Parts: sequence; C-alpha cells; structure tokens
Amino acid sequence: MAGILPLILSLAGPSSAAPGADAPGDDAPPTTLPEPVGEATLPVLVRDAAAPYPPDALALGLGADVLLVLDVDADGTVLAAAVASSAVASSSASSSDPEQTLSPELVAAFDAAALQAARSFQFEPARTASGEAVPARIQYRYRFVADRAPPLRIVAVVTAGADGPPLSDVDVVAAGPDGVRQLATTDADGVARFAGLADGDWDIAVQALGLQTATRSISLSPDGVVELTFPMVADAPPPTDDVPGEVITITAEALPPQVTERVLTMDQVRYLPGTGGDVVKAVQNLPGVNRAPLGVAQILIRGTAPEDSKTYIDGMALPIVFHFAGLNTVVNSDSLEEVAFLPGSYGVRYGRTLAGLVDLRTTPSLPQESGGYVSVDLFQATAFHEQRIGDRTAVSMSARRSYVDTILTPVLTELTGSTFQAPRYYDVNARVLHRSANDDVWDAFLVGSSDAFRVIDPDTDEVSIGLTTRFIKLRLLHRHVDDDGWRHESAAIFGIEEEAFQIAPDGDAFERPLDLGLRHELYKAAPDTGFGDGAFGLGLRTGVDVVASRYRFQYEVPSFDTSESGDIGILAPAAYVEPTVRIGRFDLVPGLRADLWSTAPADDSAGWTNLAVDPRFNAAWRFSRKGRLKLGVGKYSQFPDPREVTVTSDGNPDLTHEYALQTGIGWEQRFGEDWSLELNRYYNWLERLVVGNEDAFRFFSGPPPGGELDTGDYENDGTGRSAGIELLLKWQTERTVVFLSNTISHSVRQKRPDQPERLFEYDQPIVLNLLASHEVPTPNRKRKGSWRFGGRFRFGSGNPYDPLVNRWFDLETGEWSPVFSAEQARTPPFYQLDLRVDRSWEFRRWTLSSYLDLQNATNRSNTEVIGYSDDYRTEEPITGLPLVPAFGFKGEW
Amino acid sequence: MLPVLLLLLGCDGGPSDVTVIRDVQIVHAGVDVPVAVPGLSQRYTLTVADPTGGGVELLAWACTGFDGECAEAAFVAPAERMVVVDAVDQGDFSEDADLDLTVPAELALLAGADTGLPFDPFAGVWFLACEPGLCPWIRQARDALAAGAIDAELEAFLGDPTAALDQVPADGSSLAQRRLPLATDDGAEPNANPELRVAGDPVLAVQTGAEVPLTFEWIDEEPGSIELQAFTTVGAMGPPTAVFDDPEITWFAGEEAGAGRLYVVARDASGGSALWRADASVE
Repeated sequence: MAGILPLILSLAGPSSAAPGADAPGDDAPPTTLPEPVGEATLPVLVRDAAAPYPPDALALGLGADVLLVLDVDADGTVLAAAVASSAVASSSASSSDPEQTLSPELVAAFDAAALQAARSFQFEPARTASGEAVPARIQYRYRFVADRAPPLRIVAVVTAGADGPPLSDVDVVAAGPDGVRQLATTDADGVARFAGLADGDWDIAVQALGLQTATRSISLSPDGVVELTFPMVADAPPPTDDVPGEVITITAEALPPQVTERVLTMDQVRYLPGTGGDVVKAVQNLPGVNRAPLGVAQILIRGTAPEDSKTYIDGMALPIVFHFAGLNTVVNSDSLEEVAFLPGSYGVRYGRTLAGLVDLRTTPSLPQESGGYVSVDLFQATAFHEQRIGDRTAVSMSARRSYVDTILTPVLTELTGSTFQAPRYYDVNARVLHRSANDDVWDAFLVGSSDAFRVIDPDTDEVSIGLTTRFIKLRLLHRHVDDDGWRHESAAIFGIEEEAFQIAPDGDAFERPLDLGLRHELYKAAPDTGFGDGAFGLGLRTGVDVVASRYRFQYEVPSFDTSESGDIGILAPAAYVEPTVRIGRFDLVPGLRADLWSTAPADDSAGWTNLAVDPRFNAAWRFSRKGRLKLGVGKYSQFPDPREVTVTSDGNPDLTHEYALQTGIGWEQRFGEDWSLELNRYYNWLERLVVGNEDAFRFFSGPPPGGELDTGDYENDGTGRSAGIELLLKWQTERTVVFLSNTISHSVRQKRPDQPERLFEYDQPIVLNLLASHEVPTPNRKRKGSWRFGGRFRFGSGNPYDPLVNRWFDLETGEWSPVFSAEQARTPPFYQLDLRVDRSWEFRRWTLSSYLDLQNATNRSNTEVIGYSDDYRTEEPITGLPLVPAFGFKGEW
Repeated sequence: MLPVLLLLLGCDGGPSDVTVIRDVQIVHAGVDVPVAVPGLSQRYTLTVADPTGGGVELLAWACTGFDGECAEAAFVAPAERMVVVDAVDQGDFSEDADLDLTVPAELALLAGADTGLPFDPFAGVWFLACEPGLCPWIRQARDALAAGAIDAELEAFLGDPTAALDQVPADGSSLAQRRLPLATDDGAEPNANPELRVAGDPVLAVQTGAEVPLTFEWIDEEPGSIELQAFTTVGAMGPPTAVFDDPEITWFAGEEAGAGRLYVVARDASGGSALWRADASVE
C-alpha cells in the first residue's frame, strides 16, 4: 500500500470533508463526490453492486446509512473497504419511525451488507493532473432504503462437508453476464446472499484458504431465489473420515456443487473413454491398480489377487462391484457421493482383507430437486429417477438391463463354434432417504444384481457351461451427530448371494452365503487446528463390526474328478478403536482392530476359531497449505475360506489367518490452481498365505494358476512381497481434465518353503494410463450445448506365465499333459488407445446427450491370456477385443 | 471367471487339429493281456508315428513311481526293467517295436491291498521316442545297459521323466505312459483287449477336399466303456460321433496332396486297448 499514500495525503481530506454518497436504492446513482485538487480527479463509480438487505431490517421497513472508507486501486477495483461510521437509521427510510435507533445486530448487519456491496464496486480510477491513474482512498456513504431494496437472488450456504458445521468468513464469488463479478462473505451461519443480480447465467464459486474451490453454474430467471449449498472439502488433509493414509477419492456428481479441483467429479469421469460413464470404473485407471486381463471385473490392487481385496457400500461388505466383464458397477453412480479407493495403509474401520478396498459411499444429501434420466447404449439401457417427497425425504430408483448378449453371442459363437448366451446382466437399486428435523440421516438402500453367462450345446440345446452370479442386499443406515459433534452411525446389511457354475453333463457347483453384517461406530473428527504449530486437537473413531453368515457350498463336477460340499455357520465379531491426535501440522492416527472368526459346520464336525489383532499407525505432516507428507504401517489380517478349514471339505483345521504387513509413505502436492501430484511408495510383506489344493475349483476366484499346480494339503506355507511406486499427476480446469497415472511395481510369491520364489501371476512392473477430456461449448446462443473430446492411452506390462515347452501322453486316458519351463516369461506388453466424443443439447426442461466411444481405436491385437491347444502342442494366445465402436444416448430431466 | 470359461470351451464337429501328427509321436502301446502280473515279463507293442521319416530311437522302462523314484529300481536288474531300441535308418522304421519288461514280484504286495491311495495299485511303464540323438537319456540308457548299472542322473530321469522334458524340444520327442492294473489272485478272469475294425471297405485314396466317414465296430467285454481316439499323418480326423449308435469318425483329406496313415485307438475302462490303422493318400 505504500504507493497509495501520496494520493491519500493529497486527495483525501478529513472524513468530515467527504460527505458520502447516495445508496443504490436511492433515486440518484451512488457516486463519489469529485473533489478537484488541481487537475486531478477522484474515483468515479461506474458499476455499483447491490447489498443484500438485512432481512430483519427489511421486515421492519428500516433504512440506514453506512459510511465506508474504500481503497480504490489504479485499475478502479476496490482493494479494501472498512466502515468509517457504522449504520445509523436513515432519515429517508420508509419506517414509520424515522428516529428509530438501530439495534446492535442491525447495525452490524447493515455494516456487513454495505461492505459486501462496496467490495464489488468498479470505479473509474483517480487520476493525477497528468491523467495518470493512481490509487486513492475515499469515503463512501451507502444508503439503504427499505422500499427500494433490491430483490434477493441467491442464497449460498457453505458448510464443512455434507454434515459439518457452517463456515463463516468464506468468500463466495458470483460471475455473471458482461463480466459482472460480485463478492459476498458468509456470515456466522455460513450464509452468503446476493441481491439485485441480473437475469442470465452466473457462475458461483466458493474459495477459501485450506479449502478446495467449489463452483456451480446456474441460470437466474425472474422468479424466485436460488438456494445453493456448498459442502466444502479441505484442501490439504483435513478433518475427514479417512485417516491420513492412502486414500484416493472420486466424488460423484450427486454431491451437489462438488466441482472441485482436486477430485475427479462424476461429470468428468463420465466422459473419460473407457469408463462407460461409471464412476467406479475410473478406479481401474488409478495408480496401484493392475490391469485386469480381458478387462474383466476385477480390481487388482498392489500386486495382490482379486480375492485379497474387498468392496464395500458405506463400509458394509458388498459381494461384487462389477458386472461380468467389468462393463458396469452394480450400484448406480448417481446414488453415490464418492468412491473411495484405499490401496493400502487404511484405518481400522476396515478389516478381514489383506490388500486394498473400494468403498462406495452413498450421498447423505437430499437431491436439490426431483429428476432423472433414461440412457440407452450399445450394451444396456438404464433408467434412474429421484423424487423429493416433502422437505425431508427423497426416494430414488434405478434399473439397468444389458443386452450385450445379443451382440456378443454371435461373435463368440463364430469364434468358438459353440452357442452362447452371454453375458447378460441386470440390476436394480431402490432407496429411501430421510433427514429428520434434527438432521439425522435415515437411509434404506436396496441393491439387487444378476449376471448370467451360458454356453449352449448346439446338439442337445442344453447348457454346456453356465455361470450365474446374483445377490440382493438391503443396507440400512442411521447417522446422528450429537451436540458435542460425535457422529453415531449404525448400519446393517443383509441379504443372500449366489455364485453358481454348471458344466455338462452333470457338473453343478455353487457358493451361497447368507450374510448379516452389523456395524455401530462412534466418530468425532479432530478439530481443524489450521497451521498453528502449537494447536492441539483430539478425535476418535471406535466401533464394533459383526458378520454372521451361513455359508453353503457344493462342488460336484465329475469331470474335475473331485467334489466338496458344506454348510457352515460363521460368526465374526470385531472391535476397533482409532484416536486421531492433531498437533499443529501433524496428524497421528494409531489404531487397533481385533477380529474373531469362528465357524460351526452344520454336520457337527469340528468348528474353527481364530483371533487376529491388527495394530496400525498412520501419520501426516501438512508442511504447507498445498502439500503434505504421510506414512502408514499396519497389519492386515484375512481369514481362510471356510472350506479351507473344514475337515469334510479336505480342509485343514490347523490353519491360522493370513496377514499382510503394509508400509507406505507418500507426498501430496498442489501446484497453482490446476495441478496436483501424488507420489506413493509402498512395501508389503505377505505372511502365512494359505496354499495347497489348487484343484479345479480355484477358478472361482480368478484365472487358474499357471505352471504346476500345488495339490498338497492346505497349509499356511505361502509368503509374498509386493513393492511399488505410484504416481498420479493431474491437471484440471473448468473444462479440461488430464491425468497421468503410473505404477511401477514388483510382486513375488513363494508357495512352499522348499520352492523358489516366483513372480506373482498378476505382477505387472509398469502400468501407465494417460487420460484427457476437454469440453468445447457450442457457440449457438439459442440452445446451449457442448462438445467433449476425450482419449485414453494405456500401457501395461504383460503378465507372467509359464511357457509351454513340451508335453506327455497318457496312453490310458488319451489325454495330454503339459510340461512347462522352469523359467517364467511374460505375455507381450499391452497398448490401447480409446477415443470418445460427446455432444449435448440443452433444452428448456431437459438435456439430451449422445456419445461415440471407440475402444481400441487402433484395433491392436493385445495378448491377454495364454491358452493352449487341446494337445498342449502349441500356445494359443487369447487376445482382447478388437475395435469396438460404442454409442449411446441419454435424456435427463 | 470369463477368461476361464473361454479356455474351457470345446471344439465343434469339424476337423480337429489335435488329431494331426506332425512329427514323432507315440500312438499306442498294446500289451497282450492288459494286466500286470508281478514276477512276469510283459511284452508291449509300441506304435510310433514318424511322418517326417527321420528315424526314431526308443527307450522303454518299467517305473511304478513313488516320490520321484521307480519301485523297480530296488528289485529288477537294469536289463529287465529297461529296453532301448536303436535308431533305424530313415524310412525303414516299421512303426512297431516289441519291448519286454518285467513286473517286479514285490508289487504283488500291493495287489489287492488297501494302500490308502486315491487310485488302484498299478504297474507303470514309460516310453520315450525321439529323433536319433535328440534325447540324451537314450544314450545314457544304452551305456547303462552295457555297464549293467544305472547312474544317479539317469535314475532321476527314469523316476520323474516329465521334470526333465523341458531339456528337449517338443518337435522330435514323444513321452507316454501306461499304467496297467495289478493282477489279483481273486480268481477273476483278467480283462482282455477289445477288437476294433472298420465297417465296410472305405476308399482311402481320395481327391483333395474329400471327407470320408469311417464307421467302427468292436468286440469287448465292456462294450459300453469303449472310447475312440483318432490320429492321422495326412489331413485331419474329426471327433467321434454316434450315428444310429454306430461310432463314426470322419477323415478330412484336406487340401494338400500326400500319403500317410490313419490311426484309431479304442480303449476300455480296464486298461484294454486296440489299434486300427490304414494307409491313406490324397491326390
């Protein structure tokens, strides 16, 4: 401000010499009083801004004058504003009592409103005698006249997260037609108001230090007031539900104005090639996730097997997350607030798994308004609708039915000579969400899903091979935040699931768990201590997590020459506690989780009980407002499959739980407004892995192991190591998103102590994804719309496999057996380019969009899996899909 | 799961690539009585296809394997448990070789005993056919027979030949095994080999592209358990199908002219087997 001083001295007289100005609501436009000093001129107001009239004063018809001091820069903007003389009742007010004095609350309200308006003023700057524009300090009198109060147009409510407290003193900027820009600041209730805005399109942005910028575009019409809510997300780490471990969160569109700069929004994920508009599929592009062969529905996290990771909905286990071939998630993305991908070092809320997890988190917010859509594409048709019922309740329903079988069936039939019905799926979601008067969340969510795949014998017209996966789950949730800030969460999930396999002539295998999951959790976030080095805060998470299950299975496949069956009861209670200690810029999160797992076979054979105690520790250091370092170490236990410990199914009751010792360090950094970087290094030890009985039934959890099968008894003999470096570089602006995801990793296993260490079957040393999407608004002013162009390039190392080197012939059976090399090899590297173009048209009451998605645009033939000729004479690579042009339409209302 | 299903899928009724013999391949090992009698010698007639005419050398050895070792090693002299047939001149190999191997008398302890194993006791025999000089173990076996003793390296190979098979290329080598059930003294009549013949008098000298259906007949004590398996060195064979209960296999002559041989092996469920073969030509 040093440069302003000469003009203050030379242009501004004592305050009494500057009588102030008329208010915008008065007849005369507000102007400064030019006070010539020589040839110089004072600033002249060229664009005013209306102050939102204090509601209480308006109700009473009170007017007021506020005298302000404004620092006007050389470009005419207001650098600073202060109250020179607080509000006094205006003599021109329309009140019946012009001499009425204002209450302190009204004085403060008028002062704040005047300041808000003044900060958006635009002046013709002060000029020296030579005409040079210079800064100036002036006095300005703002006059409020009740019967000329500008109409209130926008009310923005800013809170810390969806359920958090209101945020005061946060700037909210409204940018409107012709470059108009107005500024408001939230009050103690987190509310910012804009008045007198012109009709047209406005962009509303919320900005504050330590918070991610949130924006939303609206269109103002003559009728009504637009209400917006902005649940803000902390910029650098935060008081969130997640410990400062390694969490990558993708925020769904359903959370109202969550167009942020650090998270991928549903709007942007939807248009990324390869995601099919599915927010969960975006996870497969993130670092730490290996590429699943043939694009199947598996999430391979940090060099572990798919069965070592889990998926959840609001922290409750979900049997599957994707339909066959990974085409879509079983939960409609529009029901989700966010998708959290936790590749490792997560907190004690989650357990019973060795590796990472994906948690689908439903939105706790009621929709702003009722709406829905119908979409139709090459593979499936989807309908979604959500309806507000009164002020506190909303219901939503969605249904999806694939018809990909009608497209793939002839292709596969031609390919193999067999007749297919494959694959087809459908799912339904239904939800009732209620927020009571005390803002409790009552939530019932039903998820049902069914997938089927069949190969039909053309001679007999009967099923040669069939696979069915289906489940139906009801999730109930109640969440209450008490006056002391404790969040009480009770949740239950209940339902039946089935995975069934048929193979002619009489093979029949199935797994049918009937599960009940219960959780009660008490949670209080550590208070935000900002960046004060001496600040201290304490938070706590503690809860119980119980699973009760009846697990029935049968494997009767004569051609596999073995059979198993069982009916086993399972009771698995767990308890956990996790304090958060926040000291200045440091977050320390120690945690402890204890899991008990007990089985009771229905045939009265011996049960099995095992206890796992998992200590974990995470820490983070916020070294700046845009960066933090983090580390995590912990034990993650996983219990054997029930049949592996049951004697009647060749199990070994002497087994104990497997566990992983996970360690990781990471760096998160933002650069400017658009760039962010995440870099993680992890090293995991896997101990006491269950090995043995690699019989034909292993395929239930993924591709069969390569090379020689370990057909010995089940033992905790296996060990493994997995290490890697993960990079996520993201550039995101309002219309463009680009991210580069790279994982460099190494994963090995040793089945038995006397066997050599070998590359894990999912080991992929390099996985690289480059995604970009850019939106171009159409110039047509009559009908809004846009084009969006996107591309995804993927590179991945090939998977290890055991090369076929010879074979031998069984003269008794006429069958060949393979002889594999002792040295592992890799399938060729994977490259693929996907391209996508979207076009949208906005109509008065609805929006139409369409897309064309070219998957494998270069038609590259990528080897995905190594197969073999029936006589094991040759390797026969199975390649991925050729160029697939997919297109679809979506109508939203 | 989906890729596994794709891997599991079978083939249709057309010519099957797995029936085509491209180089040295053991097709059949017949034995007079398909039961191993402890203490007696057993004669195997080994049929080896050699479509390239490069010649073949053979090694056959009795090996009832336990943990990578042959039980015969402790009881039978090398000359009685191992036979080597030297390479013959190109084109002169008759395809059949008669091999005499002794079943150790000690295996009688296993016959009829409850071993706790998930299979019935048997006497195993391995056969290795290779292009001359390709497989080092045949030379080692020849030396061992000359010396009257088997060294550790060769013994390890004999005990678990599949483990060493990555040392030789698949083209030019063929390893096969038979496992004959041990004879018991329960007085039951031992199983006999089936008899297999082709119905009618099919014409096997054809033009390119021809398809010749072959209908087979057999005689066996367990006729319902018979399974057929076909091979050929010219064209390709289709999978066995049933036409009015008569098993039929189609020979697809293919688009290349040449001469070769068709083989069809019949097996019953008790170790009995029979071979039908015939010369064929395509012009």
